[in-house]
Amino acid sequence: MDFELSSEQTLLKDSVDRFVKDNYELAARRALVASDLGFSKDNWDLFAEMGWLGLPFSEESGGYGGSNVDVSILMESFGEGLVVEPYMATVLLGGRLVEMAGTADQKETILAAVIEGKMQLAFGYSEPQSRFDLFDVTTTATASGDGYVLNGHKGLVYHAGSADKIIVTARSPGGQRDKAGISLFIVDANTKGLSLKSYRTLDGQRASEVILDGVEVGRDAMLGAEGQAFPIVEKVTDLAIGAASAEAVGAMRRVNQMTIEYVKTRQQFGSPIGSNQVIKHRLADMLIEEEQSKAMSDMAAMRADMAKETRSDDQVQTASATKARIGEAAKFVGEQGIQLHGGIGMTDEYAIGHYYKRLQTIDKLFGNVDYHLRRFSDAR
Amino acid sequence: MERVLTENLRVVREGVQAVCNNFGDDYWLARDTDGVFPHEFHGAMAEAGWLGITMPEEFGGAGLGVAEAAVMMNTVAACGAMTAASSIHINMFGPHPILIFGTEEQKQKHIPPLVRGDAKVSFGVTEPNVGLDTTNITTFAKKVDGGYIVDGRKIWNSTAQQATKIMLLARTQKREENKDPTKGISIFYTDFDREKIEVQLIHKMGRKAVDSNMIFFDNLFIPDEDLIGEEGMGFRYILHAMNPERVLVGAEGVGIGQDALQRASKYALEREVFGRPIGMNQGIQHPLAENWMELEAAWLMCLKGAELFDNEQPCGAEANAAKFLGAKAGYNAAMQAVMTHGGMGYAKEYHVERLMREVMITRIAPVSEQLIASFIAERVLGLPKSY
Repeated sequence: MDFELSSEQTLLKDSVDRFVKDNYELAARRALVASDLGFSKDNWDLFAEMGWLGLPFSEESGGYGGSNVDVSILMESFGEGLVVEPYMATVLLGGRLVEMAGTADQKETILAAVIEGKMQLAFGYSEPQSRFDLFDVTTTATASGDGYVLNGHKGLVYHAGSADKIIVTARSPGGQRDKAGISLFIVDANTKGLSLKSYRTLDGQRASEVILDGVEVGRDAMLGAEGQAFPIVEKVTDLAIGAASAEAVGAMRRVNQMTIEYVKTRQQFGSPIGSNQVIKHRLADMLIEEEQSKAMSDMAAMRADMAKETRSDDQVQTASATKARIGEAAKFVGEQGIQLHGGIGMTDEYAIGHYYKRLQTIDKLFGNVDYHLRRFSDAR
Repeated sequence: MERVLTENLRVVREGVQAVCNNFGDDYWLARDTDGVFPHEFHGAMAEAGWLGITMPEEFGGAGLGVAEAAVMMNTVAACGAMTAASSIHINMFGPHPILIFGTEEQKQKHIPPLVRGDAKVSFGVTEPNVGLDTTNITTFAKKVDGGYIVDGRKIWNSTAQQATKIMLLARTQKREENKDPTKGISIFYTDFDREKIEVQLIHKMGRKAVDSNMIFFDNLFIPDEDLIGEEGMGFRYILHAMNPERVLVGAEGVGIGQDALQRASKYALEREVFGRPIGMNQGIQHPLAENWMELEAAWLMCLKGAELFDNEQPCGAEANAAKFLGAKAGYNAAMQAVMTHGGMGYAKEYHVERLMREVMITRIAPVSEQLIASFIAERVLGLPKSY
C-alpha cells in the first residue's frame, strides 16, 4: 500500500481544499443551509467544471476513472468544510447504482447528464420500519401492462427534493425481509403519484419522505435485473460508507484544529486553558481517534480499489469495521470538541457545534456503531 | 444516611482498627508470600469478640446489624485486604441458616464455637459447570438410615484446608423430579471429615493465604441431626444470607480501594520528578480524586443496603448495587494506585500490586457484574429476563 499522494491526487486535494477555503466560511455555509435549495447551484456547476462529478466513474461511462482513494481525498476536504452539496446522493449513490446496474442506454442518458452537472439523483433505500436493514423493503412493484406500479413509503431520502430522478428499492416477490426479490427503479421526480414531504435534517442537509402512490413506470425504469438488486445496493452503500468515513475524518480534523486553537486562546486563572494537563491529554486522545479513523478510512478505500482480489465478506467486514470505529471516534471527538469549548461550544454562532451535528449524523448514516459491530461479527 | 456518623459505627471502626493496628504491611506481605492462613489475625479478632458481631448475644455474639458488620469488614479490608477479610468473612452471615432455620439445639451446639473462633467453617455451594446457576448442582445426599450419604464435588470452597465444619448445599431430590428446580436442595452443617472429603488446593492470583479449593465427597455420612431446617428447602435458606454478603463484599472492595488510594496519594506527594512532586500533575491527581468520589459513593450504597436490611426492608437491588459499585471503585482505585507508583507500583515492596490482585475477587465473587446488571434490569426496571 502506498500512502503517499500521487501528483494528480495532490492536485485534486489542493483544488478541493481551495474550494472549501473560498466558499465554506461558516457564514457562507449558514446562508446556503438557510436558502430554499439548501445548497449552491454555482458550487454544483463548479464541481462539474472541476470534473468532480465524474470522478468515480470509469472512462467507458464518460467519467474520469478515479479510484476510491481519490473519492476519499475529495470527501475528506468536503468534511473539513461541512459541504452541503448533494455529492453523496447524486454521484456516490445514484450515479454508482446506474453505473453498476444500468443498461448502456441508462448509463448514456443519466451518467452523462450527472457528470455535466445537469442532473441530480437521490436514492431511497430506507423505510420507516426498516431501521438500517437495506433488505427490509415493503414498497411494492407490481407488473402492469408494459411496466410496473410502485406503492410505498421511502424515508429519509437525502436530497430527493432537488433530485431530477429518484432511485428506489421495491419488492416484487418475497417477504418483507428477504434479500431476494428486491429491484431498483428510476422514477422521474415529476411522475404522477410521487409526492415528497421535505425537511432539513439536524446537520443542515435536506431530505424527504417519498410517498409512492400508484406510481406507473415503464419497463425501462428498472435498473438491473428484476429481484436481484440487493447485492448491488449493498455494494454501493458499502462504498458510500468508505466515502462518509473519509468525510468524518475531515470533520474530525477540523474539530481538532479549532479546539487546539481555542484552548490556546481562552484564558482562565491567568493562563490559557490549554496549559492544563487534562486538556492537553484530552486533545491527545482526540488526535489519536482522528488518526485511527484516518487509517481505517484509508484502508476501506484501498481495499475497495483492490476489490477484485477481495472476498465479498472481507468487503462487508472492512466497511463495517470502518463504520463502527469511525462512529465511535466521531462521537468522541465531536463531544470533546464541544466540552473543551465550554458553554460557547453550545452556541450556533460557533462552528464546533455544526461539526458535532454532522459527525453525529454520519454515525447514523447507513447504520450506527452497534449495527456495524453486529454486521461485522455476522459476516462469516 | 443519618447513620454515616453514628456513635455505634464509630465505636466499631475504632475497636476493629485497634486490633488491625497490630497487623502491619509486613505481616500481610508475608502471608501473601508464604500462603499461611493468618491464624494470628483470626485469633486476635476472635479474642476481641469481633467474630460474633452479628450473632445474638445469647450465643456469645454482639447482636449487631449489617451496617456494623459492613464498617467492621471495611476496616479489616483496609488493613489486610481480602486475605484479612476472607479469614473471618464467613463468620458474619455464613451461620445465618442455622440461626434462622436451625433448631434450638443446633444453635446452642454450633454457634458459640464459631463466635469463639474454635470452629472454622467452609461453605460448599457451587460446583464445576454450575457457576451461578445454583439449582443445577448435582452433589447428592442420599437418605439412609439415621442420616444421609453424600457423593459429588464442589468448587471454590474457601478455607477448606483448615475447616473443622462444612456448610453444604446438596440435592436430596434430583432436579428433574420436581417442577420447581429450587426445591429438593438441602443444607447440612456437619463435621469436615477428611477421611471422606478430599481437598485439592486451587492456586490463584490473590488472597493466597486464604485457601480456595475443589473438594470431592466419597460416601460422606451426615447424621440426621446435621440437616438444617426442612429437607428440600435449602435453596431458600441460603438466599437469606446473600444480601448481607453482597453488602459486605462491597464494603471490602471499598476498604481495599481506600487503602490503595491513601498509599497512592502519599506516594504522589513524596515522589519528585522534573523538580516537583508528581502529584502536582493533573494527570496524576485527577484520577485519584475520581477514585475518592467513586469510593465514597459506593460506600454510601453499602450503608444504604445495610440499613434497609437491618430495618427488614427489601434490599436486593441496593445490596447488589453495593457489591457492584464497591468492587469496581475498589478495583479502579487499586489499579490507579499501581499506575501512580509507576515502576514501584510493580514492586511488592510498595504493596499496591498486592492490593490490585486482592481486590480482583470482589468483582468476580460472589456474583458476577453481568448477573447483577440483569437483576437490576429485571427487578428494578421491569425489563424482560435476557438469559
